[in-house]
Amino acid sequence: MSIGSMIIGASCLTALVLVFCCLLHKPNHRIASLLLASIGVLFVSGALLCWNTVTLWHISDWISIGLICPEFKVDSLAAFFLLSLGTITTCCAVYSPAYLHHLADKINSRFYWSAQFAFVLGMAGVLISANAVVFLVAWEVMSLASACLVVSEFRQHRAQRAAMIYLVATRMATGFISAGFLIMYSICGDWSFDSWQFSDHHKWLAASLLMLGLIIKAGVWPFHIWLPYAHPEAPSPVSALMSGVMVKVSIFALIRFFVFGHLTCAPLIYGLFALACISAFWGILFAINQRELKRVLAYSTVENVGLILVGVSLCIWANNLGLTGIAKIALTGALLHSFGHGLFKSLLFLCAGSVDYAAHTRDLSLLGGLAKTMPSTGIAFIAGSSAICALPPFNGFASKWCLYQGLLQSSFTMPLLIDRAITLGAIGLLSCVGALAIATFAKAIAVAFLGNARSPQSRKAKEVPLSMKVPQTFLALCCLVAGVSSPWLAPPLMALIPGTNGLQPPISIFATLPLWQVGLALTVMIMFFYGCVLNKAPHIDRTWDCGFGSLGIKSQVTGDSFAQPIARIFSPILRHKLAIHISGRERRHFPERIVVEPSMVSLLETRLYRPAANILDRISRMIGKLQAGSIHLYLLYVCLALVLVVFAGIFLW
Amino acid sequence: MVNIQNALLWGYLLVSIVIVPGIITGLIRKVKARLQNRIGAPVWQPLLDLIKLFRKEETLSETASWLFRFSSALNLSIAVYLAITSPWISPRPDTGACDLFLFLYLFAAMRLFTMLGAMDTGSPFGPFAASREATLSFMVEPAAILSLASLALVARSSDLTVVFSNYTSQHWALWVLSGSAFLLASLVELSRMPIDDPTTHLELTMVHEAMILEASGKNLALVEFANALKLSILFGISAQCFLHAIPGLMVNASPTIHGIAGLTGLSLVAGSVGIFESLSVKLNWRAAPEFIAYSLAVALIATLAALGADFV
Amino acid sequence: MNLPLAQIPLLLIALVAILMVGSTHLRLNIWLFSAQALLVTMATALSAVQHSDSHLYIIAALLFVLKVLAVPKFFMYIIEKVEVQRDTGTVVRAPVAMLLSIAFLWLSYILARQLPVPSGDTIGWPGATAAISLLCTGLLLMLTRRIALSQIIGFLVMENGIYIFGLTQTNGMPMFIEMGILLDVLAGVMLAGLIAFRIKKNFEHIDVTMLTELKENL
Repeated sequence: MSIGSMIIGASCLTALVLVFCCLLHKPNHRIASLLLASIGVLFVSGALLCWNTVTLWHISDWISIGLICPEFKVDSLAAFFLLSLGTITTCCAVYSPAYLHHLADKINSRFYWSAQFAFVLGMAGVLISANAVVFLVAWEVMSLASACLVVSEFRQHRAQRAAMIYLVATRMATGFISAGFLIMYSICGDWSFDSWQFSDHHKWLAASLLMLGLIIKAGVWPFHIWLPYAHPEAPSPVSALMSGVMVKVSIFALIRFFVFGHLTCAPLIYGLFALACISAFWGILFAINQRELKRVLAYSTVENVGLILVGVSLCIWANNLGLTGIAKIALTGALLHSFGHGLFKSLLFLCAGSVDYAAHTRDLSLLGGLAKTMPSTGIAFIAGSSAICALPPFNGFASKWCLYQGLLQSSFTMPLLIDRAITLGAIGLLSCVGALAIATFAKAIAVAFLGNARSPQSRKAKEVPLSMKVPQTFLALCCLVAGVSSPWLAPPLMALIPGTNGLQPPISIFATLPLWQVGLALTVMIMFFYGCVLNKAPHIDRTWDCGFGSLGIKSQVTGDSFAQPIARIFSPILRHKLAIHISGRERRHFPERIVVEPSMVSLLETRLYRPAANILDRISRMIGKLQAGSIHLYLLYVCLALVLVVFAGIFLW
Repeated sequence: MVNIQNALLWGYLLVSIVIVPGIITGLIRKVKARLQNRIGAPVWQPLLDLIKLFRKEETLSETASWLFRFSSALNLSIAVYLAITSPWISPRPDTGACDLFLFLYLFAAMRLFTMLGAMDTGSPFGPFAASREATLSFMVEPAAILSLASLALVARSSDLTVVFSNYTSQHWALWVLSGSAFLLASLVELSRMPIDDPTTHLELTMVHEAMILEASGKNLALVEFANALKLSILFGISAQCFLHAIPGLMVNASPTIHGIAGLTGLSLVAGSVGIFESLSVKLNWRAAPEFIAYSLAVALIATLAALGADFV
Repeated sequence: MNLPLAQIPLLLIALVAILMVGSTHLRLNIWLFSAQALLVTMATALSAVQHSDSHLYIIAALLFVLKVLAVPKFFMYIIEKVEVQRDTGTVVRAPVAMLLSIAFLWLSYILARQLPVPSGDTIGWPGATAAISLLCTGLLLMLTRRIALSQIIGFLVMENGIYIFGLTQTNGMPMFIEMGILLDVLAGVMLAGLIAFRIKKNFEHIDVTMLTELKENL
């Protein structure tokens, strides 16, 4: 047993103890966050020490859950995700006390902190679980704790509704996963993941159930609708953890089961690839049309999960064809993007929290001009947006580059022409998604941080305290450093898949990714242009107003009008409509008042989930009529049931 | 010997980066002027304009934040970096790899920061233009990436330096198709005719010009230079594509011939763009997707050609 | 009419049950229940004499203490507390219910003929008749009454029916099972009584038909 795994185990136990401590004794925000941060740091150090080692614990001698004993396993894959978990946990913990201060009377700190510790514990438990029962227990802890955290502001009706939708999603996910586990157990006769291989065709039902459960939790189209409800309602550090880590935990499970379990079922792989592409596109398309900052980020998570799963499915696909080189690049892309998305998405969520903290609103139509009043948050948000838009030299580019590279290499090494065409088409689609991401974040940055403030409260916004600035800055630096150092980060990740029989020697491919050179060159040149060309202080004057007098708030472009051309193109999908109402006596030439109200309906919700929910509701109502409330009727039911049982016993025995 | 040659090539590259963008912009204007029966300004006029702008005092909007000037400095830095590394003129010194995706994403970075700069001043015109730019870009990006990816597919490398070092013109049809798709995509990317007329000044329809409306003086000089450099790089890449399609022209040719061919090709592309811009009319904004569809269609045919050429 | 001694209490039990359905006075009902329990005890004792089975004596004693004395006493106490006298029925009125229960007696008489009777046993058939009719009557009592106490009494009547069935068909169940059942009945009655208190306290009545308002209206 290595030191690293001991550290991880000890910090998990500490978290477990702290769950109960916080329940019993009302915790101080500062102390609780300090403890959480130290658990995060311990995870990071343990994960770093565990790299390239495999530690397996059987705790059969101590306790046992039913018929099987708890087994834990820390390998490089788990360590990689633990690293991400630790980093983000630490940052969120440091950020929390000051942020929670402004929610003081809206949340119950006892439940908040015990759910927070349980949440982190659950995620770590899923990552280090080595058999299905431990996995399910940890998975449930993670899901239920996060559901509790979503409803932190428990008095808000919206939070309650969001938590309900999220709970339905997690229940479905757990249901499918449990079914898959049971089938796998009945086939393999073993709960341990090590003995689970998905290559036989009679395991495909189990594989499809597992995949379904995991992608529901990962928020893949068409199961993504819980994300835009749950993320905005949770407090920002929680949404950062949920979007940054929890969603990745399902991706971790997909990698563990299907990449290392050698899934060979072609329809499932193609299906996953298709769903991944659709969710990348669908997610970003809805992200650009959102009006609330955190909803933008939530939909962008859908997009990024799609991108990661493109990598995962390409990896499984290439592995089946024996193209280990491509599989390695694709998996590296998926892993780097999981890690990177964890960093920049939690950064963006923390920044959104800071905006909420300072301006008391996340509605883009009320924000504006925060870059001048909140410079540090503004820079961090712009850095995070650049990373999520995959701009070099940030880490988003490195991971996306791996995905592109894997797809491009597939397009000339895969044996079937149709496969080659599909991968080439995916390159086109991903570039379109990338351009839309840039548009989305241009809108988010510009409307929230640039221009003039659109409401009095955002005009009065002040920079957040130091303890909130530090995690943001740290995460922004992490994004930059992880991007610049990606040529060195990638080769160890490639070693995760054994075998060297790929057609291309993949390590050398990173020689064509000169990210640190780009970073260096750009820095030098920007400093040159700033220092030598723009060195003179400019003459400050009003923005050009066509001579009509100073520009008001209303003349500024809103987020909705920025996104309108794109929304119009995709109006069949977005159900985007503009209701324009012009009033006034001479309304054609001299309108007194023009009201434009864009409306958008989520197609999936109105056409798929609402009807399905209605049918369910109708059936429940029918069943509900049986519950008349009359004791006499109930007695009759009991009697009839008894008679039925007796007769059934007579005739069927 | 090698060192001297390399030094000469570096010199040629740096001089081209400074001079060619202005000349190419001037050339397009000259062609358009001649076709409109005007004499027009000399081709080096844009260079003189730049020098003039560098000398002028800068006026900054009171609403603008640090991002406004930062974005123009960043954009020019990216443009210069791309001009050094990407194969838009020939011959070139050994500047290392120029990855196709890095190339396109650096342009994307330029676009993001141009849009941000446009929206920083609180003026209504910049954001509208940025919105149009965003709309155009997501439609044109697949065309740009697929035209280059089909070349990369045949060359089996995403490194544009490797892609463009193959002078055998074996797949000349593919080169022509990719070159045309990329040229059409560039016209949209640079928001030139028929998407937008850069010479008119109607703020409600402009794309690029409205985004830089608030820049002035030295700042405007940086922006203009970055844009001219971007134009030269994009046109240069398509010119190189067309040159690669001519059989036997560039194989084993001396650097001088490469240089003459490269510059001639670039000028011809710029000239034909000038002619095209004189003949065409600006499209209605709602008709822009139809034009972009042509570019995407050519790019898709190029990918089919590449898949067919590669798949034996 | 040649009626064996052992059959008399069984037939009386069925008749008492029918009287209970007919009566709307709660106090009378409890007296009738007590009498029924006494008859059950007698039947047990007779059976014990007949089979000279020692454990049936113990059960008879227990039945006497619990069902004849304790449970009716407890009910009387509850009636004092919740201040109810009469239970006008619901769905069907008491006389109609009584006629219905007589119909059930006929039905059980026919049903009991279908059961395999232990050979040479004189109480098998009348016992089964009484038992099935008690089950039906108890159910009827529960279904047609408003006051929560009647439901408990109906339940106890059904329980008596099951006991009679066990006694007459299998000569009594093992003692531990009998004692367990008695304990259950006692606990059930106590709980039901407590709940009746609570219902009275919260709703100021113990009318079960009005408990429908507890249901969530969708």
